[in-house]
Parts: sequence; structure tokens; C-alpha cells
Amino acid sequence: MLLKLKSTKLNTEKTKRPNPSRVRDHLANERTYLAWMRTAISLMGFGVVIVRLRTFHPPLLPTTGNGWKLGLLFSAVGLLTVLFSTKHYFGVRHDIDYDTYEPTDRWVILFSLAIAILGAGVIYYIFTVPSSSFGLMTPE
Amino acid sequence: MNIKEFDRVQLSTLMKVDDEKLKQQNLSRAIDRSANERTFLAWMRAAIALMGFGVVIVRLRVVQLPVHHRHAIGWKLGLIFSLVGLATVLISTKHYFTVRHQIDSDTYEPPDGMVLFFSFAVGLLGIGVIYAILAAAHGSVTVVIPD
Repeated sequence: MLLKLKSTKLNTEKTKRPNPSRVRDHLANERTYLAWMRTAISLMGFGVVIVRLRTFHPPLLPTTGNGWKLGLLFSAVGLLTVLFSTKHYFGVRHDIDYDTYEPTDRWVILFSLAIAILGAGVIYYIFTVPSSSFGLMTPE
Repeated sequence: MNIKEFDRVQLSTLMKVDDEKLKQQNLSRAIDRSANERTFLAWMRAAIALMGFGVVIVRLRVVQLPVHHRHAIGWKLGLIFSLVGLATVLISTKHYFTVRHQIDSDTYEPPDGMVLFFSFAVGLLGIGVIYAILAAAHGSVTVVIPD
């Protein structure tokens, strides 16, 4: 009798919480989302820094040169990261609740590609700025 | 072994199972609590990143321009970054204690409003950054000149 009672109790518990590590999984998902957001914030901040740094400006000219394009690209990638990570968070949240989570490589590959392109852009700009040997990276 | 004795043995093994289960539940609860703490720290790091960039935006100087070009929007952007970071600190602290309570009472539900709010705020900041960069490139150069 007792055994039966216990088994039914276990059963109801099982239907209520299908996954014993559900809380942990959700919290881990939230942390992953936050890590993406931090990356996005860094990208935006770096975009602003690029526009503001003197390295990317032709010295002694009142124009801003081409550095702003690179800064714009950084900020745009950061903004896209915000959108995608939010979408991804809610997708994974749904998957955890229905126990259908599958890891995806797509976003990771796409993101590393974007960052690699941005890095190439930074290197290109550093070497094409006129007389960059003077006051490199001095924010003045 | 008569039936009574059998029942007693059964009962004691059940109790033992119960005990084990309780222990396991405690362990799982401890893991959940530390996961909650890590999540809280991740929120804090995000807030610190926001505030740090607020400071960087305000402090960086690009080119020297005449003094009368001082009406820049750079400091506003920096201020908004820092304010969003501060709001994140407050909200996530409150959220940490809520989740702690939810773990104890087994009623955890993953957040959505908070995440949406944060994405919305950071997205708006991104739009602001893009706007500032475009304004700096096309309009006057004064946008990027803080004091």
C-alpha cells in the first residue's frame, strides 16, 4: 500500500518536474544570454572607441576619415548580436521546458566569421592610416 | 516473517529511500542556489560593462577642435549607458532574491520580462551609438568631442 502511494506520488512529481536539472538549465541559459549581451556591449563600445581614437583619423585634418565606417560596422554587429541572442534565449528556454534542446553551431560559426572580418578591418585600418607611427593609440 | 514484520521492513527501507531522496534534493538545491548566484554575477558583469563603457565614451577625446564646439551628445550617450547599468544592478539584485525564494519553494519560472527589458535597453543603446557615429561622420565633427 505504502509502496503504491509512494509510486503515485513520484509519478505526479515526475509530471510536474520532468527534468530534475530544469532550474539549473534555465539559469545556465540566462548566463549564456548575458554573455552574448556582454559581447554585444563590448562591440558597441569598441565601435565608439574606434570613432573617437585618433589613430583612425588622418592627423591635422578636420575630417573624420574612414574610421567611422569601421566603428559603424562594429556597432551594427553588436546590435545584431543583441537581437539574435534574445531570440536564441527564448528558443532555448522553450527547448529546455520541452526537453528538446539541441546545441547549434550556426550562431557560433557566424559570429566568429563576423568578428574575424572586423579584426581584419582593424588591421587594415591600422596599416593604412597615414603616419601612424606618431602617437599610435593616443587618446590625447 | 509474518505480514506485520514484512510491513515494518518495507517501511524502514522506504524511509531510507526517503532519506536518500531528501539528501539528493538538498544537494540539487545547493547546486541550484550556486547556479543562481553565478547568474546574478553574470548580470553584475553585464552592468559593469555598461557602466564602464559609459565612462569610456565620456572620457575619450578624439581630435582637438575649437572650444565653441562643445555641445556634444557623447556625454549623454555615456550617461544613458551608466543609468542602464545602474538599473540592471537594482533589478538583478531583486531578481536574485526572488529566484532564491523560488528555488526554496520549488516554483521556479524562467524570466522573460527582465530579459526583454535588458535587450530592449541595449538595443536602443546600439541604435544611439549608430546614430552618433553617423552624425559624427556626416554632420559636424563636434558630436564626438567631449570635454
